[in-house]
Amino acid sequence: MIPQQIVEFISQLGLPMSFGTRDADLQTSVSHAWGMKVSDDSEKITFYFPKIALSEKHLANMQHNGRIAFTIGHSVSHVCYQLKGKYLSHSHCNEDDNQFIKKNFSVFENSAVEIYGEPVREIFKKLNFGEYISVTFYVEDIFNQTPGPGAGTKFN
Amino acid sequence: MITPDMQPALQGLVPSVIVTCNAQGEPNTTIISQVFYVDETHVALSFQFFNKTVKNIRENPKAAVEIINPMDFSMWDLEIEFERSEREGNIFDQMDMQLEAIASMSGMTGIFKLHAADIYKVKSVKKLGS
Repeated sequence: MIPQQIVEFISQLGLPMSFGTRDADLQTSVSHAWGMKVSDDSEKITFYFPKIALSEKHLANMQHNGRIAFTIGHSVSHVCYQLKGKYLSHSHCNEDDNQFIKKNFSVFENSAVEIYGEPVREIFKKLNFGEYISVTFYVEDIFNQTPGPGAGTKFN
Repeated sequence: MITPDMQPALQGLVPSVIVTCNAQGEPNTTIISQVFYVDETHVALSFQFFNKTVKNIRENPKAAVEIINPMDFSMWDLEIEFERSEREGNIFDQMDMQLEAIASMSGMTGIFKLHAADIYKVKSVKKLGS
């Protein structure tokens, strides 16, 4: 179960997040995700990533060995967590999912504007990643990844 | 393999993400501050802490890294393979200087310290959506 303080942190909208999978030859693949939700029982995470972002490779990897590593952090405070676990399912996004992704992306855009300045907004307006896929995984381990001496510490 | 339009993504303005995997098949995802251009077929990553990424790479040299162009947010996924570590020389010095600048910009002065420039061969490059 994901501790409540981490649930609250990672449930903030607009945080940058990425995930990794690996194939049978231990070659990894990486992509950005653009939104995530914690399940009501705080044991599972569902994240959303563009179909164009190596989705065939990631889904084949997940269905082959089930391993997922997911990193989420805050751009300004640098507080960062990695959650590792086992793939459970995936699906194409429905309208509710798409609305959530859009809302999350909008908060991400505002955060990026705060860091990089107003011209970034024009860049984001042009971005269109198309169709998204949702992936749900069971969280087994959580690690602190905030840069510094405590990085890599596992939460019990 | 690394083309001129990818160069802005290798300036450290937007953090990158690397995924490694240990010998038992457990992937590990980490945000990294710098993917440094070495030549058309090599990049260097900063080895700052002896962390899971370094441990995994010593067990399994294959990794993937995603880089982002801050000018238009285009993304590239690189499959890379560790070749060697350099603890001195031109690449190390340039990375050290760039890392200090990144640390200063991101309020992380004193946290980043370059132990080595880890050189990776770029095996493949894929632009998001291409």
